[in-house]
Amino acid sequence: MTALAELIDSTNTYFCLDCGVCTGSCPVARVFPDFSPRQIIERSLYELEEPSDDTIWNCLTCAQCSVRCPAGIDFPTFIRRMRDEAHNLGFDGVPAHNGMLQTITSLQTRPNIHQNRTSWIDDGKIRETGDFFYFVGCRPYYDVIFRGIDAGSIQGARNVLKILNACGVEPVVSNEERCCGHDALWNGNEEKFKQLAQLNLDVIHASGAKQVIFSCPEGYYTFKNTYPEYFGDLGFEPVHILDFLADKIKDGAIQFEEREQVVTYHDPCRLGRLAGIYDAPRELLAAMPGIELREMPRSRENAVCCGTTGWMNCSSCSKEIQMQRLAEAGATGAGTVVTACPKCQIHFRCTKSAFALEIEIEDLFDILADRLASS
Amino acid sequence: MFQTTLELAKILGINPKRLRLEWISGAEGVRFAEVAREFTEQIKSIGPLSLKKVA
Repeated sequence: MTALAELIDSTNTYFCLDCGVCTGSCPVARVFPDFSPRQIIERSLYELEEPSDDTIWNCLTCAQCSVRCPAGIDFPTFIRRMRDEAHNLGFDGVPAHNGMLQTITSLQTRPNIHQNRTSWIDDGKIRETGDFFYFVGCRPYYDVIFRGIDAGSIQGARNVLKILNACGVEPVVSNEERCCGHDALWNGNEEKFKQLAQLNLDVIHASGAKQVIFSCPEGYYTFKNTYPEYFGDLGFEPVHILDFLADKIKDGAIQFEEREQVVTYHDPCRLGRLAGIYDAPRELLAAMPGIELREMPRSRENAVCCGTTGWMNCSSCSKEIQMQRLAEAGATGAGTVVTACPKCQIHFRCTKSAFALEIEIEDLFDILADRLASS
Repeated sequence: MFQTTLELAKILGINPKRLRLEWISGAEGVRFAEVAREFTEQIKSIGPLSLKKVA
């Protein structure tokens, strides 16, 4: 059986009804008419699709197609595995930012590298070992790379630590943490993903943590869903901070100051369609007095992607998607788009800065930390 | 861009002394030789980076 035939078999692609709902739903196809998930699948079934097809790198893997597919075909996984195949044959996508982010993650696969990725911590309280591990993710790097567009990445990490401390948690934060491997995996580099994941598991096991807390949807989804596929039982529980906070708010462990603000909420694809978390961020916004949430027409499972994934193939299509999304957000009358993903924040702030847009882009946990009432 | 690279190297745990940027005009041959010699000595004193790959 060829690699492609095996891939078709394992992702149930044979069930394709040829209905075209995937292409009709695809945010890329709307801008690039040559990109068609339906045709990629059809060509694959007729054994006409080649790993050299460079359109496979345009897919955002946002799962807008797969949540609507009547045959239940997991197109993002299909694309991911096809990229594995293509990468092994020497075909790759076009890395954004001159491949800087791919280089940084490659360097993190080296076991004897010792990073200084916790130097952002000022008055936050952390520990060397303990029950809770705060997996910061790539924010320390993003903060430097995207300073020019005021990405504010590290402020987000400081705020999450502040929130955890306010809840009485002093988590382990480690210099030895690595990139979770999400981008390597979706860039078709499974080997790099496995190396990063193994190093992360070693660091977390050495910390003795029972729960690993994430504020990044990609890190959470990758630990929760992908790590067990490769490594079985992890020996700890990946917890999204939204789930962690839900109980704390119910118990009254943290309270908020009242402040009027009209916002709209952008569902990140890893948090929403992939991890299935739609209600928790809305409940958190509702728990903060003075916040009025105005939904965009495309929200929850219909939320459109922020335009690019895995620091790859950022194009005029990405910018068009971002412009449309921010216009949609602005049309709700809200002055602020709330995101819950550091990458969505970077991508939207990039577009805001490139086109001098009026709208504010804020992270959910920055808003929360800013309103924490001192008890 | 140089400043960004320098900061990224620091976070990655790579000695920032491995990186240097100098602007030297085409008329300053002596200066170029001086900087190249100095930087070579500096790198030699730090030693190899030895980023071992996974076995």
